[in-house]
Amino acid sequence: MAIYHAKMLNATRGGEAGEYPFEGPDDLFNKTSDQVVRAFFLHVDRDIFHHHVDYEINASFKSKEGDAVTAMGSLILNDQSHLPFILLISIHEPADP
Amino acid sequence: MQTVTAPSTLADGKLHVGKHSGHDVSHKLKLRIEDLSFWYGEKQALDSISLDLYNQEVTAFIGPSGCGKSTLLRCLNRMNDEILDARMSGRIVLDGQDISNLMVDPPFLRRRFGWVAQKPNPFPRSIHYNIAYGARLHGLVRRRDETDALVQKCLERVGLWDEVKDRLYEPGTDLSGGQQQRLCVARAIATDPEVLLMDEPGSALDPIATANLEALIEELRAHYCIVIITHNMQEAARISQRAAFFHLGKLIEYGDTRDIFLNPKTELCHDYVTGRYG
Repeated sequence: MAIYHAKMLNATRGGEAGEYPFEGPDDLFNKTSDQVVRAFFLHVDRDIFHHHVDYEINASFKSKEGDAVTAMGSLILNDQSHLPFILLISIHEPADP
Repeated sequence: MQTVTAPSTLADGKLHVGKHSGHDVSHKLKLRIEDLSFWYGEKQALDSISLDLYNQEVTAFIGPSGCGKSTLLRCLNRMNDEILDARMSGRIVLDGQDISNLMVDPPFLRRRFGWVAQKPNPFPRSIHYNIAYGARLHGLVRRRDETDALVQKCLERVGLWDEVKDRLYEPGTDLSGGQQQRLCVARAIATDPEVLLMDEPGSALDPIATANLEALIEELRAHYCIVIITHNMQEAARISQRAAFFHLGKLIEYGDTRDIFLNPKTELCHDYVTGRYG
């Protein structure tokens, strides 16, 4: 298992990016960008919300070097309202701002 | 002012009123604001505001920037007292007691109000200190074991205990933004307040932290009267039971959140909640 680093930003208002390190298989970044995003949201359901929260991904893509995934989408809350986000997932530790 | 009827589905089709919207008539009156006006020097910021706030409910203050909602929030716990040249008329009655009376000591009054600011602002000290400070200051806890129990209780209530129990003496500022905001809520409830005042508490957070904070507010509602300022109409619709719409220092509409968002009585409020004006 390896530690990956996700940062999420509110796509509507910006603000501060939330940092969410999570554990995944060593070969996670050999998989598609959608599968990387799915691994992150499994962590979110299991370890942060402790229940399933819907989401939709409008676009996701992997960097040319294959070490980072960028995704755009929305969290979908119980009342069906959407919270749009930009999500960055990397195999590298985040740099200090 | 012209009265309009909003369609049940709003123009952009995206505004959803939460399942918890709609107040409950059994909730008890907590805070009554009577004919409140406020001036910064010559400039009048609030004009004859009257409204009631209830226990176990979230009331959202909405309106464009400069409409007076933050001024009103600060009037409630007398934070405007320190402003030179500011003056207030009218009454604020908390559980039958007029707290706008100058005989009421603001520091003692503020213990009855918890405050959560727009940006997470933990003290640059440990997580434990952040929660224990106010309670120690007010003499609510004295012994170490009492303090530790209070810290644990507050962190459990905001859902942060499991995440930080092994690093209580690390700086609160080392937590993520969402965790810091939940720490600030834990700090606010540590002095056992009766009213929670929140000034755009989710505006600086990412969607995961926002969703977590909204769930927390819904849980806390059972124990407090909560007033929240938000510029996010979807958030107001999701989490509040009542909403008050302000414009240029005046209260334009106040009532059940469903009515404010789905059937506003004034054109101004309709235009604001549908995003045509803001």
